[in-house]
Amino acid sequence: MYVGNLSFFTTEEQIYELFGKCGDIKRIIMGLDKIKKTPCGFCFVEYYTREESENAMRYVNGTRLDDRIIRCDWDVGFKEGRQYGRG
Amino acid sequence: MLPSFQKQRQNVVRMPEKLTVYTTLIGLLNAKNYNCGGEFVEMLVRNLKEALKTGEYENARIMVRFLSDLVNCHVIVAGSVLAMYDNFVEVTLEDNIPQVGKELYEKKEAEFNKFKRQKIHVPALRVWSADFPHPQEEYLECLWAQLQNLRSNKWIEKQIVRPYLAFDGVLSEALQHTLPQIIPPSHHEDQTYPLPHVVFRMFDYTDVPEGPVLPGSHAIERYLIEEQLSRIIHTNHRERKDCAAALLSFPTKNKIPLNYMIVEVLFGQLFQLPRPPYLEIFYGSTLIELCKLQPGSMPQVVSFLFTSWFAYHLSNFQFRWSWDDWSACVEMDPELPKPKFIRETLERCLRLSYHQRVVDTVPETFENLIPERPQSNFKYEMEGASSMPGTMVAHQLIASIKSKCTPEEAMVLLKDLPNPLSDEENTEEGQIWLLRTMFEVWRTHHQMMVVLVDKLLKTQIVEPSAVANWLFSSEMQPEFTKFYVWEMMHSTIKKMSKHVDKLQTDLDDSKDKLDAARRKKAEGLDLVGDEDMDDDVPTEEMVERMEERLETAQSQQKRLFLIIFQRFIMILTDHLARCEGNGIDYNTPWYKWHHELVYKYISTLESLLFTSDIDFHILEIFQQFCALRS
Repeated sequence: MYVGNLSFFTTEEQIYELFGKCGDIKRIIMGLDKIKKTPCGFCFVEYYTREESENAMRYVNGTRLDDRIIRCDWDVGFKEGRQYGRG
Repeated sequence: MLPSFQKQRQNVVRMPEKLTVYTTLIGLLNAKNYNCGGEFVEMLVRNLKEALKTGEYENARIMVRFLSDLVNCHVIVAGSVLAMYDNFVEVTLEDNIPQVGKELYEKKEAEFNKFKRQKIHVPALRVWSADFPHPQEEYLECLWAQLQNLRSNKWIEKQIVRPYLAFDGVLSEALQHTLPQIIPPSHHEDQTYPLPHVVFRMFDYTDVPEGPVLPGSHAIERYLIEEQLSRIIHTNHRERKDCAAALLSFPTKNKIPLNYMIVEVLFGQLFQLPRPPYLEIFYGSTLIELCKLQPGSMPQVVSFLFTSWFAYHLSNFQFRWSWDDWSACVEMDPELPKPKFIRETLERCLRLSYHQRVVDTVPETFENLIPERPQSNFKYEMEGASSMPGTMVAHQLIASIKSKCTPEEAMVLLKDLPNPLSDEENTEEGQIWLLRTMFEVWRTHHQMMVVLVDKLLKTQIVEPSAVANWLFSSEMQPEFTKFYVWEMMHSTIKKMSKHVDKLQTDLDDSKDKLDAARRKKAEGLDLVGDEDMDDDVPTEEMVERMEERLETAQSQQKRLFLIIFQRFIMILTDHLARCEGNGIDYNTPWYKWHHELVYKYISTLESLLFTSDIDFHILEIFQQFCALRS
């Protein structure tokens, strides 16, 4: 699942805490700035089951984290390289 | 006519708040066409029997209610509904009585009054630890009291909408049907019945300063409204926005203090033991939607109940809250519930934001309760590390990992590190050592520990029993009342149970496949063209191996529970003995907190451990524990 509109200061731990409320998290991949390698406002969250990510769509999409309304979207799946934003 | 009937029935189950509209419609149809009404009743009875057989009790309950309401619409003979209730007495579906009470009372007073329920007693499900200010009653008992009140009010209630009253003239002319006998199926092992619960109360009429009055706790209206709100939640729990909107547009919203009742029902579910009906975050996000739709008017009391929920709630409202109301906590013993709550809430806030934010938000006076800044504590990078054995290797290892070395290369380096244990491979002692080291490094970063333990368990580097033994070890004692310790304990138990369940399902599946393949073979259907099907069919050896794995997991699970339980008993017994020796009241907050934790797991323990094959000594400990309380 793709998560957007994150604050640049939001950490992986914060995402784990919030999304962990919807199910067992397999992994989190932070979106990074291509050049500076710093977080740049998006990430991917992977759950073990579809049901768990549906819960995240239902209950987390559109709520606040670090004072920003975050947006969740279905995603085809993470591939190496996709973690880099358009620098 | 029948297809539309089918639709009707579905609507009845899905929108029970509209039930009386449908019964009225059926009543009118029946008045016009007797056969048509008969067909509908027949179908409903068939569906009811089916629902009872398949264990859909909630649907069955609504259908019984529907049938009951058909008495009011002159479709069914009152006596035959009573006969149905008679058959149900053991199942106690008495919550239908508000619907039809008045009618039955008028027509069949004597028979109706003989309905008395055997008292069922269910302790240990309570949410609050005291009955003040709101008593916690077992739900059937509360319902019974509500019904008694209804009776003394001559069965008049103000909540149910009764559209059929407008058609009294037409309906009273109609011919009525008699229900066939409906006998609930006898008990079957596979059936799981709805669990009993306590009625959760946060408010009484004094909490609602203005506007409509909150129905008393034993008024039937309170039950009816709560029941309808629960149904709305059930129907909409997948869409938090729809759910909030549907709750707020409750049909009789102007006649009741709706906001208070919604909050009470939501929290009632959130605190339901052993677990809430839906995900905790469903309640959190729905409350946020409600607060957005009704700014300022959702009762402020929602605030102070559950640390993880509460921190999440605060995070969605920029951590604004009346902190000053809690300033007295600062002076108290940190183990008392109030300061504990604040501290744990701040711990949770920390996880959803960051340390400086929490420091900035909370008034300075709360300083003592603010958690330490979470960071790692890496001894090889501290002052004086150079004299420690292993420092050099540690730095080499860090450098190699940074340059993306292979796992094999890392292993070579690791071999050179001083090993505090003998060379024995993966013993429990080694696992506990690993956990201890993790604690040393991440002591102030609770969340990191929670995540790491999770990963260590998932990769099967440590076993659940090692985690339990570590959590109960003497080094962890100062941490013992912190919530993150319990978070780890619960998640360990949960993971273990999930693992066992999965192995069980896998084994059952494979067995089924193997059986099916055998049967096919026996019937001579095992054709040559079927080759590619064989990939799926497990061999007998595979099934045997799966059985072994399941057995191992089951014994691990048993061991885990035993450790937790025994350590608990030891700790509680120690505490009691110490208090007796020093002449202090044993019932400290510390004791209550732990005692309740054990209590929560008792039913699991009973089903898992206290079976006939259990060792006598352990059974004895269990009984002693139960006796502690009496």
